Amino acid sequence: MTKDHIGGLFFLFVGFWVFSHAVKLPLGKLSEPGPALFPLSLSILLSIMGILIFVSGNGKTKIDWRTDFRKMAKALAIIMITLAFIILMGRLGYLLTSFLYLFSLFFFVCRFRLFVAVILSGILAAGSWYIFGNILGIQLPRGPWNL
Amino acid sequence: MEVFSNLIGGFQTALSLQNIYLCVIGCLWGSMVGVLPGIGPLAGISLLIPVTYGMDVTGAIIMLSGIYYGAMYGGSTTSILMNIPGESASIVTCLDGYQMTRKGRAGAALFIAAWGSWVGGTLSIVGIMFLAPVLANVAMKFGPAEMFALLLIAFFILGSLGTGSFIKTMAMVILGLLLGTVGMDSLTGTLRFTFGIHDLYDGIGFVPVAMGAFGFGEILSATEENMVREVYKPRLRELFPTRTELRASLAPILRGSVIGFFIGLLPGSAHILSSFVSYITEKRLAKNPEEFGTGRIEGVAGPETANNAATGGAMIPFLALGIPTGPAMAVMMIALLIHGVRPGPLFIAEQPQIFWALIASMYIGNIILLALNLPLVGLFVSLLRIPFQVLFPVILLICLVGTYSINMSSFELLVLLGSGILGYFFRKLDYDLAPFILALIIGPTLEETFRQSLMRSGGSFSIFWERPISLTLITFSFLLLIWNIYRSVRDREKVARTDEF
Repeated sequence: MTKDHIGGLFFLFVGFWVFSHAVKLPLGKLSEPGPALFPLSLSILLSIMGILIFVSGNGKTKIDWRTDFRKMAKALAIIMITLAFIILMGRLGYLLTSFLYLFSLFFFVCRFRLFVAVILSGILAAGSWYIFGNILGIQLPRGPWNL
Repeated sequence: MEVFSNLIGGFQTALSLQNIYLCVIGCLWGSMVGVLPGIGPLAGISLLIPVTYGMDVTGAIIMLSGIYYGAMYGGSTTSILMNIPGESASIVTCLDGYQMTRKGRAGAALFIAAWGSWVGGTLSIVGIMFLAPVLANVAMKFGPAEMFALLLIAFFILGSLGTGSFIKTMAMVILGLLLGTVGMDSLTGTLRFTFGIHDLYDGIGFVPVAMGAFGFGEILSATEENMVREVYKPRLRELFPTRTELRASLAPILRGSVIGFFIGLLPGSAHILSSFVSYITEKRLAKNPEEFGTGRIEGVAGPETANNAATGGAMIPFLALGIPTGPAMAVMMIALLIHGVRPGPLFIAEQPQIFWALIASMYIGNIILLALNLPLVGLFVSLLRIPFQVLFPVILLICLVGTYSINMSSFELLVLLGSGILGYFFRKLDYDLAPFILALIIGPTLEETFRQSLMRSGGSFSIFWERPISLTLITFSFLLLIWNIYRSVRDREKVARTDEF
């Protein structure tokens, strides 16, 4: 698989998926075009682009999956930690969640020492809570103890 | 002379204490986001949008535009001192700027970059003053067919400016257009691709998409690279260039102003392109082009002037036609829409006080930036010394809070994360993200004008070539399409020939 193969397959998949949903919308007529006309035409165009990109990938350098996955480890960790932040913020409130978020990034992703990670996360979480919540007046979610 | 009386009125508004204060805040914040690699004007503007909620619209636009052009000033500092572009428009400044630093001429490079930025920025404002009202007057005669044709041109120009192949760029454009169809259809009220999710009824917010694809995705990509940096700190007495350096930079600054201003009018990453075009021009005109890349002052003066002049150029289609030419302009547009102001042909005619106050504030902001940037080099260097491992979690948190604060919606945080993942993978697959974002923003208008045109003509496509303006624009867009296809085929053949050797 080359980069263009992956890109081509992605566009082809999205094109087909959009087409399968767009056909259910009213198409209208030329003098009164319906909501399906635009997405339907675009999905066909995207599928054609997908095929062209896939074909253009033939003969190009293949992806080294092992090296690539090793490189992606940090990014994947950040994605998972961010997802946890989004899920937890409504329940635990901004202050606690942002502390946990920063701590996880400093300790697990950046490999800071436990003590340093706790101190940094504490200062930055409290600082951001004060700046965003108090100075800028953003209504941040509150959790236990109204924090 | 109407222009000058309007400008005087603009200065009266812009010179109020509150507006000067907001202009300084915008310029300083812009310089800082420009200095810090990983945060660009897009994130800088997005983060301050919630702060503008309580302000009047004039103050808000003065501050937000200050961030936009301030970032161009700041970007050069990191390029010159660290060989890392603080802002994407300063990539080319690294080539000679960092070499000047290694030769002990960092101060001179910073001075010329700031001076050139001021000249380029100021001349481009003169251009906005005279061109934007004229263009807006012409655009007032536009019907949906003309507007559709104009947007079509924007897309094909985007296709030709993308860094990858034409097909890849157009695939990204179509993907952005498709994402723009999510939500309630503006003409019939039909829900499209919402799957019962209420948060999608108003469509996908492009601030979370833009911040995710650019800000979040950028950080994810950066974690794969080496995070250790070396920063050089120049002393203030080294800041002044020699007479030879001043003389050598004069012509590149003037040429950079013209190049930057006109390229700024084009959609896409105009400020990046303008700096590259300026660098190539200076290299071609030089007596010893082989010396470029070894620390030539012309290699700093031209590009840094051009990227600032491009910010002014980009304001023209944005203010006069309502077409954001880049992601940062798009976020500016959202900020104005939040305040109930829609940039476009009617904007200058109906709200001249805001337009002229903005123009006046840009003159003031450029002077503020020139006066502040050099004395603040020490502060910027200290900022750059903060390790990336400390900086990136904070940037991520700011992206999350900035997105949340727009609608207090956790769903938009998911959109941010999803766009970040998409941006990260597209970067890995060598796709350009700017066309995707711009298509998402312009897409709904493109669809609306296309369908309105057909409705007006009773289903006849002849509406696109019956009217002279529309015919000219459509012809131009087809010529662009043909040129793009030809260029794409030629490039493929060139690559195939290189592979044979």
